Amino acid sequence: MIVLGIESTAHTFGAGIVTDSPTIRILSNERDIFIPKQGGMKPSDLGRHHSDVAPEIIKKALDKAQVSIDEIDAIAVSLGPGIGPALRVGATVARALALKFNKKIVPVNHGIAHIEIGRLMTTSYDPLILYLSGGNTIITTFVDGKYRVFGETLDVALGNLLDTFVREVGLAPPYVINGVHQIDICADKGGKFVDLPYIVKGQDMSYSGLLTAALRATKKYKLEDVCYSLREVAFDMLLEATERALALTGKREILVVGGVAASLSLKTKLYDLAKDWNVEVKIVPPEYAGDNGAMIAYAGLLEAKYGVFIPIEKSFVKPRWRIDQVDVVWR
Amino acid sequence: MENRPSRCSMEIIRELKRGAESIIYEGYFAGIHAVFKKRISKSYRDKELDHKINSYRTKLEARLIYLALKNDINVPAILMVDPYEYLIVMEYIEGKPVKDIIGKQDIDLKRIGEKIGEIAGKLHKAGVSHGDFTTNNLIFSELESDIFIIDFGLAKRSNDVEDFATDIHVFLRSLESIHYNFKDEIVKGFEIGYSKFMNFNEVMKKVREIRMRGRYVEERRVKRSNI
Repeated sequence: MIVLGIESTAHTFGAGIVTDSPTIRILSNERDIFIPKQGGMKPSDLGRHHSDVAPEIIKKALDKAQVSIDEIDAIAVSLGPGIGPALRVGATVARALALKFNKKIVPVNHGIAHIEIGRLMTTSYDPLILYLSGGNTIITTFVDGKYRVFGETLDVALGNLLDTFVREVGLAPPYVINGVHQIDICADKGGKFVDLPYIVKGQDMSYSGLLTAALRATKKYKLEDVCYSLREVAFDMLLEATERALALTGKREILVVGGVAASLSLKTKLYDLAKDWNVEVKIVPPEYAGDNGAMIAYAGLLEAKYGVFIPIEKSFVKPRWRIDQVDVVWR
Repeated sequence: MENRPSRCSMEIIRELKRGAESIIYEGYFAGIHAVFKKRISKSYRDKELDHKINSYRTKLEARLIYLALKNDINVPAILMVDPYEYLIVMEYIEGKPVKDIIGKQDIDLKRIGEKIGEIAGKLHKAGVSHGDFTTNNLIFSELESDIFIIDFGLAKRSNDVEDFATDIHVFLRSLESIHYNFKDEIVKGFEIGYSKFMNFNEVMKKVREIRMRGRYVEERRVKRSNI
């Protein structure tokens, strides 16, 4: 079976192709990321960007995989969660291809795709999963047919917190230089701890007050020290909630997926935590950390093997589709 | 000076549990069967932040456990507090976490729920929010056929319905994530117990509001987004 996956939930339009014969292989993984010259992402701009690049990205994905559209067995598309105008481009492209070439559509939850590609790439068996990205901060694990959420952010996501902060203080864009986030570059020059709100509610975290307080603190303290303190508090909150989830579930592996998985400082902290708990930390490789089409294709392949398809007339986008709403039939 | 009554004898027998933020030991304190809760310094945490969090939480936890005890809530009695060693010594409660008995032992789930509801209701009425009200922190004592609440590490003084609702949200979350088959029965009892001390419906209204704040909650937007 060969599956084409289409990703367009947020800033990335991606297309990837995955096959399972003879073994599971990623044949291609192409993408184009929208980066605004200033400010945050406007949903309408995202939609425009994605529809501009969509044909070329899909063609590139097919060419690189050296398969023709006729050889594709199913089209997997990320229907949510995400930003409406961005999601709609991916969905429209998938529907058009499905109609024209008579293919079935596989509905894929973006978060589930992050998790499954992470499990594949790191060969994790039954991990506690940290799904950390610009739009999501979720601690989850698989229990009885579903990925159940143990803890999550009650407001803004970890990636969004860090991105917004570095943008507001004038460090970004670009957000990442040579694989290192601006917050780390800035934080590594500081080291004096500034008091910022540390809010963990049970296993849930709240980051919006931290963002406001950190922005305010830059008027009183050295920016580098605020960067350092913000990073420490934000990650430590997450790690504390992670430890609670470890205590509750007794899992022996931690799998980190999503765009924030690429963070070096988080990795260092996680390895320290893992030593304390005698658990293994597995981090999705950078290529599959950020949003990409291959992960959608792979999750789509898992679903398609179990006959999970959606008729075109029901293939609505679902901007608020939670991971714990998905029946994980393939596990 | 050598005749000054020295610090009570402390004897640690074994490590009971490694919690998320502390190690719990079993032992004897001046001959009393006791639990030693020692907060751990996190290797991943900034030193200053670590000290701040640990000493603050040690002192606060001890104060709030005592406040709960004064309000007729089943908590372990405090025997000693050392905020520099991040240590609290308290009475040992014989029993098992509720987490481990739900669905495994033949127990009256509704009754258990009611007792848990009473604890939450009394705590909130006393102006204490627990902060980590999970089935892991509720201990079922077979001896007394009663439930005790432990780990006030994230507790605080509060009369804010938001904090009360957070406790209940966390409790429901702990039921949903591992005991989802037994949730309804337990919650039924919880309502009865909680209502003896607090207005359950008022707090539940806030719980629903908190859940709506979560990201990507379907009900938050009733409007079908579009095609």
